[in-house]
Amino acid sequence: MSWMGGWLDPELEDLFQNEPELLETAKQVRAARPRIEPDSRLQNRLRAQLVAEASRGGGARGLRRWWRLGPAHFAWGGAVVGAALITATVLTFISNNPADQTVTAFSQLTAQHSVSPDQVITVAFNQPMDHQAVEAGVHIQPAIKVAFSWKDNNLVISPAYHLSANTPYTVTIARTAIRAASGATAAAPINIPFGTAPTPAPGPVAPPSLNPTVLGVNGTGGSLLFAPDGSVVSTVGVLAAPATNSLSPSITAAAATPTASQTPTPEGVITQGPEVPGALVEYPSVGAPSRIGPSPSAVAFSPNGRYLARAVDDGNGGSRIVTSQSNGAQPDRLTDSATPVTALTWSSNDRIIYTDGTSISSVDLSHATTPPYTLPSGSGTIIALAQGGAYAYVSPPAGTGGALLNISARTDQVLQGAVTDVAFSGDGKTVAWVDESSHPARLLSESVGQSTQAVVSLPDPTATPSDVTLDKSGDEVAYMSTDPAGVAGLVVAQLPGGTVLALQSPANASQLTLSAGGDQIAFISNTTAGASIEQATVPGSRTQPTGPTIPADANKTLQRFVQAQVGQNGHPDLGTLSALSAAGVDATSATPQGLTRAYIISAYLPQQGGVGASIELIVDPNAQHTTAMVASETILLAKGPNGDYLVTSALPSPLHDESAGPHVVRVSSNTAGGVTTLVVSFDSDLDPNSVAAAISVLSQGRTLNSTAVYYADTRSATVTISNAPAGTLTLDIATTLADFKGQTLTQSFMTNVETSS
Amino acid sequence: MTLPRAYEDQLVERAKQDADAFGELYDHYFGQIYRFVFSRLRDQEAAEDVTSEVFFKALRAIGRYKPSGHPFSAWLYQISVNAINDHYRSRKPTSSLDSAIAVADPARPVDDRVVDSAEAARVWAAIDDLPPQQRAAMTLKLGEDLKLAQIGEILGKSEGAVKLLIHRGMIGVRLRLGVVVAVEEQR
Repeated sequence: MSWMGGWLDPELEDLFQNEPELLETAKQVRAARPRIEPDSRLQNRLRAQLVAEASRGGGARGLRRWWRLGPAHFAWGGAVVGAALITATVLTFISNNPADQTVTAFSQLTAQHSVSPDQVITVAFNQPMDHQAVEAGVHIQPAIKVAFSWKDNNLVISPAYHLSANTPYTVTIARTAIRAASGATAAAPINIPFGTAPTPAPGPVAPPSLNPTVLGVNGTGGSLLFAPDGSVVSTVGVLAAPATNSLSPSITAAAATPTASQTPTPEGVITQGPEVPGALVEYPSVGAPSRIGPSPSAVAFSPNGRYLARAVDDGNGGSRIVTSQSNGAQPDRLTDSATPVTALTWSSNDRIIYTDGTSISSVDLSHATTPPYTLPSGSGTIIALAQGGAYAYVSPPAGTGGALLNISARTDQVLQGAVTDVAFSGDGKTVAWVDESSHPARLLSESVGQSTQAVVSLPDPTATPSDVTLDKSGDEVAYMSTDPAGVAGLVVAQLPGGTVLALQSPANASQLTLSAGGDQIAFISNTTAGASIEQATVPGSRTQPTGPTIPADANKTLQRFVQAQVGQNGHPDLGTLSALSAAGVDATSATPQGLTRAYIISAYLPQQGGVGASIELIVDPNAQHTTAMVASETILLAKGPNGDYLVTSALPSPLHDESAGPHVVRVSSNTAGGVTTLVVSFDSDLDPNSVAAAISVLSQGRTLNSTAVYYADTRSATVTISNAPAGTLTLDIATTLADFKGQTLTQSFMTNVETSS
Repeated sequence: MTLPRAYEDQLVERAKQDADAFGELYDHYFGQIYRFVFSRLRDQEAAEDVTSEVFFKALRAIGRYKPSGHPFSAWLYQISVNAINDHYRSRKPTSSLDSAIAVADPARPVDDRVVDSAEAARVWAAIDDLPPQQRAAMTLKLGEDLKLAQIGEILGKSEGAVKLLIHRGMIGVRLRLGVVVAVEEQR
């Protein structure tokens, strides 16, 4: 039987040496064995399930906790999707010393293209090594700070700030440094080429702290809110005497004689009286704070920002509902409530709804009122009203499990484990609450009325959340987190997942409030010197651009085009490239073969119209070519005949070896409150002293006043420009910029970036 | 490819606490285990189910895993053999052998691929009818090319016992293929 040839199993040959017919059958069976390659989708899906199960303690116990940053640290994922797992490579060296065994080294990362950025780099040797010699010979490109440790014969290289996402790496150990404890040396250096996955890099061990500034003194209790112009308003602000900056309340006429009164929390809950009363005080971003009215028990700005509604004590045990201009001018008494109002909000720009805890009433700017809706007896207490007036939160009369009340439909839905810590977003569409039926308590959120709660992950799962507040859109949450030892921290995180944007710990803060865009937070800080009102910028938060931005359709085309250039398994997706190219543009022949990833460094709006983008195309290093290769490319897009954006120019430079030294991987911009911020991300750990002087920003050839601060944990520089003109700015980085090893930029870097005013 | 023993031992220890380390073990052994399971069941859906079961069982049990000097793969194969037996107990394979042969690896040597598919189907159907231990030993040897010693580790048998299982298995296959008579006639 001719098909038997070519296969030999010595064990079976031996077993069946006297029975050739059995050996023949064995060969037939083996030749006929069914073979199949597993479905990669199954493999990936099962892996995800297993790892998730393991992370939950379903077997491989213990959770790894990572602080993860948000979109500000986004790295575009152009790397090959679903790249086949590549079997790890064993590197073999023949010892010079014939008395020794062959030295082998192994790294699981070798030739992989989607290594998690939180991986450590392990190099397994087959014999005890000279630790100092090996460590001294380790070179990593791009340069990152690492720590070395050894476990048996394995060298563990741990990045100080994680690996960068979507980045090609080459770890080299010089030949002369590969020295075994026995004295054996290697015949060749070790090269471990690999690339990281295009996922956002995990954040630093400690996420960015808030850097609050003190706005002024607060009375005891009270609540804060942001005015439409970004000012912070306190319901019990205390104007300090002009002669002192002390936090000790040197009370001026704005403060009345201390009395026992009631003050609201952000949700309007009445808490027992402050010893130091205050007034409704506005703290503008520029200028001195000013008193805009007496201390209210509840307060809210109208959706259009023009009006301020507040409930103030009428002196007879009830409340007076007053509206005014947003600055407090032209107060107008709308109606009186015989019972004290504990919360109010606007259902539209001319109607206010308010509650005393048991009933909900409304009044419009023409003073017209509607009959109140009163809760059935014993059904709980209304403690929060959603902006828009569609929903209210009713705390339970006892235990946990308060209800979300649909005010018009008079129906309710239980919020699992909710008691009093419940907050609505500024648009009234999201609700977040603390589930106190869980131990430890959990933070949950859901789209109002959707009954699809999501658990918000906490940076410390053993901690208890409290003092929840949301931004306007419900994309961001702030809360206090108290660990089992009683140490509290202030956390700002994204919803729904809980990715931490900033952490202030320890913190003794209360009455947290987020600005509409989530880029600012204000809170009351309670110290032995008294209560102060503090405000801080939230690092990495989403901001609300107000000027020109890259059209979403153009950005989508750009992303698809670059992803098609990278393609699959080193082959560009020619069909997509052709479909996204304007007539006469031959992107298919211009795109290099073998690409594994790409960076979209920046995008801008050229003067001639359309959209421009700076791209870096990358071929990961491999065993044959241990240096990453790159090509720079400028892509221009314009609207085609049918209104869709098409690529009108894409001319990559020839591929060349990536230079040593740092490289820019992304530039993004944000403008808020008249301040433009460029975030420049690098692939290397930089020499912080080289950053500020090397970076400048130009507008139409004129250098703008800017300051640059380097953040080592995110490998990024934040460039702040006051009063930057709207439009295209040019970022210029000089060759004096250096990584921590002293390697400098090989040529100056210049790119355009779009900003808004 | 087998992981270096020291590295594998370290990885297994880490996998008891670290989800990513378990993921790394999975990455390394998934293909091997899947192919083994498929070669026994020859039904893609069933092979996927059983392979999933194998790794979930491994995840649940890895905390109790103690290195015994054998490769980690031996432990996974043990779990696989049991899972396959469980599967057989619950239902017989329903796939057509022809379809299994049709998805044979095109990268195999030509002389492997020229086997007539009907003949191949008949051969492996004969293995299906063997007693479980013989079936497992035959599959690990002829389907996975494992050493007799490795098969012994997986099945908890001595190398000699494995030889016996394979020897008996081979005779059983020939009996089921109806070639014994022919051979005897030639003799």
